[in-house]
Amino acid sequence: MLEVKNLQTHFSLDQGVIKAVDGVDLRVAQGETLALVGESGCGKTVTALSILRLIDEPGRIAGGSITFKGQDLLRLTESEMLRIRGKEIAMVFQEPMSSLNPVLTVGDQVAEAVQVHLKKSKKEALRLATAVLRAVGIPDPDRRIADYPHQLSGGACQRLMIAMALSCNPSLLIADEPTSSLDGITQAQILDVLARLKAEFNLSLLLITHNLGLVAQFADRVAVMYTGKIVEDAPVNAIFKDPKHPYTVGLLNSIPRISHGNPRVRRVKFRSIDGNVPDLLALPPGCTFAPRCPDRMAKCPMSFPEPTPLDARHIVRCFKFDPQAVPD
Amino acid sequence: MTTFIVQRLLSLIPLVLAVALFSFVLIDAAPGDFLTELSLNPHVSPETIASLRTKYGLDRPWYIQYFKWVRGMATGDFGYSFSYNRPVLDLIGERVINTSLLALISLLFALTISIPFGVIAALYRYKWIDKVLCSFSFLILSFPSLFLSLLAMLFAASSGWFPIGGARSLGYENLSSIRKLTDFLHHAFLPALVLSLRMSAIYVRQVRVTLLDVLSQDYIRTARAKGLPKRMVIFKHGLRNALNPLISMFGNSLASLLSGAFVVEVVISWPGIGSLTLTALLSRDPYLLMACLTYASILLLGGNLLADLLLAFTDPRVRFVRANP
Repeated sequence: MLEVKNLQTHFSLDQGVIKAVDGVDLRVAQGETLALVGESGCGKTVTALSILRLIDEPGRIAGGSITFKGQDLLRLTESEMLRIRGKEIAMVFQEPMSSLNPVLTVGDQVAEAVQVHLKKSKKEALRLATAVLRAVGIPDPDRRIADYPHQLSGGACQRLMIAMALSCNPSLLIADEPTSSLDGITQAQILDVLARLKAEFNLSLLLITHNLGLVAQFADRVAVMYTGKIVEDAPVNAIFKDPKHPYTVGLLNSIPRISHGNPRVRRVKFRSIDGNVPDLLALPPGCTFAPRCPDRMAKCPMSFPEPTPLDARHIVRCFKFDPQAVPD
Repeated sequence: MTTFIVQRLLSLIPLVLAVALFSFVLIDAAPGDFLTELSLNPHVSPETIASLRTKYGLDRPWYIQYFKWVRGMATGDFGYSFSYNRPVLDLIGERVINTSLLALISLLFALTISIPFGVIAALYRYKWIDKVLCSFSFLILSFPSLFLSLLAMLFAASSGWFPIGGARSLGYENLSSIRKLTDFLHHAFLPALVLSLRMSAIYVRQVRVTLLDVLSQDYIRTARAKGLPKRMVIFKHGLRNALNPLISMFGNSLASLLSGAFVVEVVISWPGIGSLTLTALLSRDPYLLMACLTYASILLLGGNLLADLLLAFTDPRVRFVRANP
């Protein structure tokens, strides 16, 4: 369905070039959910925006290919791209409140994509909008379509965003941190909606998150991203049961756990990864994770390890698993 | 909404009264009065001056004059102009209309000039057209309106396309209503243009900067991700949100248009409130001056009221705050 190969998205600033996405390979099969995880600033959102070709100056897609249903999106004209955005690939953003236009009604914002893509009349589009709003669980949608976003709660706004994204029946949905600005109960409700609609519409889902709980519950496969590169790509079970890359191990260890079965619930102190995400303008040489890596070897700062397939579905970029790498 | 408008209109009254009080104090503090100049005339006896002063009520202290004026206002009596020897109301009627229309036309000019150019400047940020527009608006801003008025006069005189001065042609009364309108617009064009230039220069920059700000908002990214054409993203999603600061500015613009009109009206001899205020000031004609100042404060406050109403119309968030106080 979607295959991203060696994607390069660079931002040219006065201080230098930031390679926010630096050679990313991703695959999302029909009906599959791929979770793209990593710390803030590792390039997850830029990857998503690159797929929709929504990168603005001073950024640009410097190389690679994005094949969607057999055509390379990077070769399409802007007007051909307009028919992909919202129609074939839709996106749900992180901050539902600020992602909705404050001066347009709920109905208008859902209906306008329908009008543009499905060439429906305003009246028909509004009827369809009402149906989609009902599908995402907004109560009393006939009346809500006349409301404005500021009259809705955060959870309702995110339902609305999902309704907007699904209104034209896309085949791929990109959800960028869809729940991180919501409270716990609302998060669960939104996830229910997403799961239900994903099955109903047979959607492929690219789920961008730093919430590993969400990943465990939702994803079929996981791609772990660090400083613009995918460092590990594996089925969800493999990631949780047998993580290979030291960064993935670190991410999993940093989940706070509560041990159950004990009447006095005992907290286990969570461990974080040492150090900070490096400055993208001054990346360390070689493997960018090396300075924070507990398993660092002498050759790590020399070059970035190439992707090493461990089996058909598990790829990792670390010298620990590179057969050609000579151990110390 | 109606209660809101009525409330705002009622709150105009104390404000106008306060402005008037302040003006009376200021007029009183200035040396001399309407009769000072006359008293320098050797043919007029001091007794005549004294009796005139009593007749006009200028011998009374300022607060008595103020209360007399307030009492008059309550019954619709704006007082008497000493210099024109006519009731103030007769004098200002047509001039209020002239100045208001001039302000309205220049406001329309300013909006039709500045919104398209502001949008262009924002969309081509840092490109040559943006730089030209920005430099040009700086240039306009640095010209005094006196100079622009003189340029307009020169243009009218040398091209012969526009009448020089006045608001209506001779024989205006005999024209058909359509000819009356075109005649008036023909006269108003140049003064309105001069008056609107400075405002357009400010507005272009304002539209540019707010639109740029709006276009960097998350909801614009959402609109683009929906696959809407660029035109729709900019005008439906962008410009509508960029209008609010413009509307707030518009409230103050009416009053600043009036102060701009002072210069333009005097130089291009537009028979409006601006030139009348100048006459009233020079001849120290208190009641005439008061009427002019009252008009100015109503324009300022009315402009703000109008801006608030427009804002409530364009921005649902403002509307709903009002609806549930």
